[in-house]
Amino acid sequence: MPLFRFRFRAMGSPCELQLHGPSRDGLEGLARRCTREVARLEVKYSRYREDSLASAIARSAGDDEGVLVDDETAALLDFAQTAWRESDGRFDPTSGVLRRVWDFRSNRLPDPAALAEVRTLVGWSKLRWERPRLVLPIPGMQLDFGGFVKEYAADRVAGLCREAGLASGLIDLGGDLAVVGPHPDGSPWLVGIRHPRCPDRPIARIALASGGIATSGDYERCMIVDGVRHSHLLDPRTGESFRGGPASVSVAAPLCLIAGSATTIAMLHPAQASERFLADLGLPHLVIHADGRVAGDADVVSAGAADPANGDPDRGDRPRSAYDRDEKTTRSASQPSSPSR
Amino acid sequence: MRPLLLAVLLLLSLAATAGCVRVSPWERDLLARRDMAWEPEGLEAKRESHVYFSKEASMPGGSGGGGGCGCN
Amino acid sequence: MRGGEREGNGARDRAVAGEALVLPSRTLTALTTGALALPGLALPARADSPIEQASAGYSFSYYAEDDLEKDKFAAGTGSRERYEVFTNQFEVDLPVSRRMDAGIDFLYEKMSGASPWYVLPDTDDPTQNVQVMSGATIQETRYDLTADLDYYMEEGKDTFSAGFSKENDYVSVHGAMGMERSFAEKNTTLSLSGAYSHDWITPVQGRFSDSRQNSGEKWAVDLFAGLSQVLTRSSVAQITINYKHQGGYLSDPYKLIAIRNDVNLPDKRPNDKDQISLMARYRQHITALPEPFAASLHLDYRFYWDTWATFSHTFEAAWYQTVWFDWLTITPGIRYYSQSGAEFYKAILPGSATASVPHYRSSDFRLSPYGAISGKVKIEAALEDLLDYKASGAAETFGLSGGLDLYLAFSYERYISDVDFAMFSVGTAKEAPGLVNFQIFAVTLTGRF
Repeated sequence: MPLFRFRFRAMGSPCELQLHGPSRDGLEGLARRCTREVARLEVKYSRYREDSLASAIARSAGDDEGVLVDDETAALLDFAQTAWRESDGRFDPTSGVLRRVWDFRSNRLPDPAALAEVRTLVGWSKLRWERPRLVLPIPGMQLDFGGFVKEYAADRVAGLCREAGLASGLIDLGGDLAVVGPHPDGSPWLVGIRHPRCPDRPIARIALASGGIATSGDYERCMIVDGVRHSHLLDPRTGESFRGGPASVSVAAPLCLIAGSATTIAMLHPAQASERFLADLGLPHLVIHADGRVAGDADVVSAGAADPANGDPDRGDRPRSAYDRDEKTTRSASQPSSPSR
Repeated sequence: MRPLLLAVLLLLSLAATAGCVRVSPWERDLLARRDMAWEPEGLEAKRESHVYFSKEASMPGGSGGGGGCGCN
Repeated sequence: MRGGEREGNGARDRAVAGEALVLPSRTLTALTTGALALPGLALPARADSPIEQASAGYSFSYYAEDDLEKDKFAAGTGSRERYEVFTNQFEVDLPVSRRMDAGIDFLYEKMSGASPWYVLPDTDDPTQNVQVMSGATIQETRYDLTADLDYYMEEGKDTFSAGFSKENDYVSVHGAMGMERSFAEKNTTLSLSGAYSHDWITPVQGRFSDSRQNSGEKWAVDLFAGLSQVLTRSSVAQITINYKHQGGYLSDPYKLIAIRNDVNLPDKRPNDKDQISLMARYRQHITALPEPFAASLHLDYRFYWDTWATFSHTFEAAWYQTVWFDWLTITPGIRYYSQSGAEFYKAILPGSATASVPHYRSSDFRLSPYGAISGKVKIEAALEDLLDYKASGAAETFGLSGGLDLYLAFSYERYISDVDFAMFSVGTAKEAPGLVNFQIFAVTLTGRF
């Protein structure tokens, strides 16, 4: 069965569905349902939309009655609380307000007084979460679902495809990947990991037959003030840009959501501690340090920038050049593995 | 029996056309709609078939046998 | 060999991601538990699956037969007011396990009115017959309880059901077993089932003055086979066959047949009956309509034949028109039915002194040749996520099922039967003055939790 790609933009990122099926026409209905599902979650959890649930929650800040949330949101909040507890506060959806004072386009550090004020709004321990009621007691507090809802969306879309009976496919929502199922011949998907300092160049490829994979890097946005590099990774515990962590972390997990939170937490560990955290966690991972050193136990199929498109030329049904094309647009991309016979 | 023969012929012709098409599981979104079911509303279908059955000479088709009734 | 090949094998051998985990850490266990509580993330089975939500339904309907027309009524014999029935139906379906669901159907109805008794020649107009009716005092109550269980597997399901039904004058028990199997990626589905029912009839004494059988039993075996086939992405067809054998007391204890103006004999039918029903059904979804409109066409045809020499044709068509996404559906439908009479049907037996009385005889209009047309319309509204938690008004639009989905439907049906409606010319209205016209109003409320 040939592979068909459906590209769209959602959640501020280029997204792509790679689905194996007999014909493009036949897959279109499913692809439409997938993009609709992503759009539903975007509309529901976007902090940029006035009519979103996230905005409604932010508006309720300071109100002792709080808001009553639906089952899906409640489950997401339960997950966030677990991740916050297990990460000793590194994973914290209340930290989104820090962006009010950290403007990475301005090339200026935040005013210390303003930062101190915003810091009073940060901290999961300050909110009250008593399912189904959520209370943000301090006016100005926010909840940012952006840190995990894209990963959740990837998992849901993959689930939707499986439920519809699709056996082979890969969901890529701006680099957060979830596998529907391996290639029709059973071989895993090969996921390219970008080099954190040369984003056009893949540094490794990881084989993924099920579950999901997420990558977090410090290369996305940063500013250099007085010769010091401040990455966009803000530490919820201090309100400061985190320094001394790895340049990039990729984690494979049974679900993309788990992989995504693991990378977020790992990035807020000092380089060595980050490796230890991931090893203790017990998930296949790949850590790229600031000096270019690569560590981790993920299933790396081909390290370095060896010719990526060395698939069997006989396999006409899969576009061989896809790897090159994707690698330039997303921070990680996928490529069908070489056939084994 | 003519009706039986007719049924077998119908079954065979349907099975023959069956070989030509194959709709994949993920293409069944339309077929899975409620308004595409053989009997979209269970309670109503059950009552309806009972009414026809008790006012007409024919027995219902389309599903396995159910209850009996005096039906006068 | 190139490196690529070795790597490919290696990648496959070392199954990746979560599968390779042996001892997950406490943190990972906590995260996984949290994540799997999210809707749609627990990996769904690809087999046929039982219902995931419990559902319950209630339906109330009012069935009313038209009064018998004056010129078909034997004046002074009883009441022209025919049956009316108030029906209450309850239905509950519950998921039992990953492989099973179970359901209970309960029906309770109250019937009252007069019913056709026998036919006489019209004393005013000898070319016509008139229907003698019972008094309008018949009051009956019917209960029906059926329980069913579905067991699901990779390529189909097995079904079991049993129940009983009780009226003032009869008790019936029934049981059925069936299986459904899919082939060719579920493009083809074969269904088979068998059912048995046994009825005990104890006619109410004193309802009519004439002598009649005190009690009787009848039984039936019903075998069913069906084959459905997906034709295209938007159409599917099915053909089914039912074979039923009935034995025992099949006569109607409440009906008589006139042999002369003043002599009535009891209704007497053969003690067995073989019946065959063949049905073909077709469903077509109309893809040409833009959102929020959608429509589906239903076409059904049934051919029926039995050893009492009755055969019938039934055509049914319905158009399910979705008016606003799936929230409002309007469904007009039409049904045409035509049957031949049973070979022993006679409105009145020939009354000459020399004619012998036929062994089997019935004046029951339901065994006469006629046709019937009915039209119906149904309006259904879906009220979704009623009890879902809402975060201000905004969350309403994002509904993900977690509350209660309600479906509310109203339906109306009008049924008219007439000798002239028969497909093939069968005679005149004289043959069956008791033919019935009725209408049904129904309201149904279904909820999924």
